[in-house]
Amino acid sequence: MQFSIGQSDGALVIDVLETRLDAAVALAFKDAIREATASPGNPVILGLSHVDFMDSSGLGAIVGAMKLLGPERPLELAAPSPGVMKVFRLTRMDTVFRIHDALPGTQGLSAAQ
Amino acid sequence: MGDKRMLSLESDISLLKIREILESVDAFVKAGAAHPQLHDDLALVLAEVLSNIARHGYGHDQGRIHVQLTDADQCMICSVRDFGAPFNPILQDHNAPIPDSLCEGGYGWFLITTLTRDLAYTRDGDQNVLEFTVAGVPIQNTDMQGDPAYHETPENPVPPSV
Repeated sequence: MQFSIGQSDGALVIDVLETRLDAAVALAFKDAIREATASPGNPVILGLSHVDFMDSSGLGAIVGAMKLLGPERPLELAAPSPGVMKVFRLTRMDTVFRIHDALPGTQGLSAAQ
Repeated sequence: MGDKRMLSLESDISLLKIREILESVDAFVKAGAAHPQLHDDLALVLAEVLSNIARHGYGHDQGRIHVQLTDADQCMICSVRDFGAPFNPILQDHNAPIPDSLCEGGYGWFLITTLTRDLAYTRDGDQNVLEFTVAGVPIQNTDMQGDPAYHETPENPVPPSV
């Protein structure tokens, strides 16, 4: 599970470098989020521009990540592809996350892990 | 009308194997004239169906599946067979969880039923057989899901939603 992590304006920005968020990587995703969010930053903004496929397992992993962070540290999404956005819309989970059109520019904390 | 293109694929199933299976399906779909929306919907439906079989049908043990696709031009007719535990998905709760409940699961059958039509299950000896058709429902059409007249095609564009 590869991320590019940075900070922007106090937010922790996690750009997901995978092309698929699916059943095969759902657990790895949650583990990687747990590690990545040990770094400070609020809110946490998850970049999804590289993800061209997300199924309900991927969606569940993102929801799990949000719950991991708790109510005081919101998880927001950035730049989901149309296909990924469709899954959020169909399930109405787009109402639960703040969704940015683009990933904020960042000062890198670390390269992809 | 000529013979329809068909894909018949047998494979072991695991959560990781699903990606390989979907790649083969991808290649088959792209070799035809299917609308990109159909391609995306089929990939999602199959991912959900196959994940369920891997997790629940086989309980993450080894198992075989058989996928058959028929390219019916504006839609894909699909059949998925597995030899796992008897499981009738028609009896499952097809509603998506309430968003604010922040459920990490339970969306799969909702997605499958939303994106397919003619979903049918039979138990055939020791096999679960799930059949369905994917026609590629544009997102703005989902509230017209039940109306067979609303299939967006270039000749039949979706009217603007109110």
